[in-house]
Amino acid sequence: MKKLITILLILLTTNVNGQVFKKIYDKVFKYSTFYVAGDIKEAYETQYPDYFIRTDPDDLYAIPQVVDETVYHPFDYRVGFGIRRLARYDYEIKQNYIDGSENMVGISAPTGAVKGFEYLFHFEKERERSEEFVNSRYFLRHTGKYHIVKLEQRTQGNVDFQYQSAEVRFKLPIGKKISISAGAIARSHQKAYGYNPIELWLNELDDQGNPANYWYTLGFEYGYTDHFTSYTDYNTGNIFYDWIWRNPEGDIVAYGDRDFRDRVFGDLMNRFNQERWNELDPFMEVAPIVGVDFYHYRSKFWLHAYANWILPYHHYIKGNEDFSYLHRNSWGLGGHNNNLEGEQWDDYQGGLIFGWKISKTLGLFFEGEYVKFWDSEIVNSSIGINYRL
Amino acid sequence: MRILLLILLFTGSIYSQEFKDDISVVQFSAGFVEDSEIELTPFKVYNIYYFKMENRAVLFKEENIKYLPTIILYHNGKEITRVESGIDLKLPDNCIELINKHIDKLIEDKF
Repeated sequence: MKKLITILLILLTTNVNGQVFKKIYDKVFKYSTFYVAGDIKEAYETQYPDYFIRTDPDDLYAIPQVVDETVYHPFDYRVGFGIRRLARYDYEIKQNYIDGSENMVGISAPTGAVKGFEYLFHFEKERERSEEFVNSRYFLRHTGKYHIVKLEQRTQGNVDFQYQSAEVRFKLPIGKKISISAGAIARSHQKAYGYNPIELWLNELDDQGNPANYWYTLGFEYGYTDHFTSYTDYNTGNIFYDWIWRNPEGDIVAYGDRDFRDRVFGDLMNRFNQERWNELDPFMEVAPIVGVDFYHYRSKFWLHAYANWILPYHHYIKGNEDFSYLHRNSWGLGGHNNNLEGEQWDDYQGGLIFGWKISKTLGLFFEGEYVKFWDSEIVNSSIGINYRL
Repeated sequence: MRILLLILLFTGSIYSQEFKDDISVVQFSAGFVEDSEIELTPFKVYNIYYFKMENRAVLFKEENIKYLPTIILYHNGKEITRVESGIDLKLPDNCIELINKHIDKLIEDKF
């Protein structure tokens, strides 16, 4: 009897487990695609080759050697892998294969083309103009009748871009075509907006009101040295004086202060800024978000409009707030103005996709998206008329 | 903004057959065959509608309903499949499965 009960229990448990796994499979993995893909492209080439002349160190005026200095890059490539379960809207053309480079509307729009889980986990390595980068995109969303939960992470190595966001929204359908949503979103940004370390450093004053850091002293900070020298004009006999600059290796890099300013100093300023910015931790802020979504599709006419508005109630939860976008206007020549409140702002995102097949031969279309996040504005749009003969 | 409103009105007026939007499962029936109707709750994640001939006679004619009850699956305005009752006024036992099979294909096509 005991054996029978045990067997029955095992069968029941196996059956229940099987059902649970099937349910999980149906809801999470069904229709997902695992892919490994890549591409190879011809690398960038300059229109004309670059040459320079190498002169004889002992005789500057001897016939020089012409050297081809053109940079010939090896081929560009991109290789990646991932798993994707992202539904396309009916107006989006179905691709025969997935290679990870697709940019689907479903990722930007507040709601997905289907309810339930949608995700994209993509990782790739690429080489562009001899430089190698790592890119990744992780996206997970669950859309229900009354909710949207979304997590996103993106790294774009070639532009040193990193972005993370997490949002939770309550969704209210109005009829079958419109839905409005409201909730909260947490987003990260790396840039310290409004904070320009080199400008502050150069404009610092000492007690007597004189510059605390003369511009050329930045060179000394990075191991450059200068020494005073005189130049004689043999035609006129005039003598003038300037400073010869050497890099930390001892090589001459400029024959005067102006030369140093024009050819070397710019790179040092960028280096200084980058070093100061790198000292700052990334920022993360939370704000309320509202959205609206309209979707109508028929084979001859479709309209998809969506908008997100991140309200001006941003609250930083990570990073030094003094350097955040909230204090983008708090920095001046004297440093931070200690405006503790900072300045709130609005962020928006909107898209409109419209298509109309007026007749069998004539069609109109428009696709556009506008994003304003912090001080970045991105506009993508295309419009056209098709007439088939 | 005005243009957007016009477009919204345009889409609303031309395509007033909302019951055919997206994935919709519609049961066309009548009071005298109520016992033969089925529950469409297995399709509640999509759009479900119940129409009675007494109230929507014109619609029944437009949709060419010949048998009662009839279940029709629509997708973006197009009829995908219809499951009709037989002489015994009963829908086939595998009615839900038949519709689910077609829905599965529609969903699969989105990915």
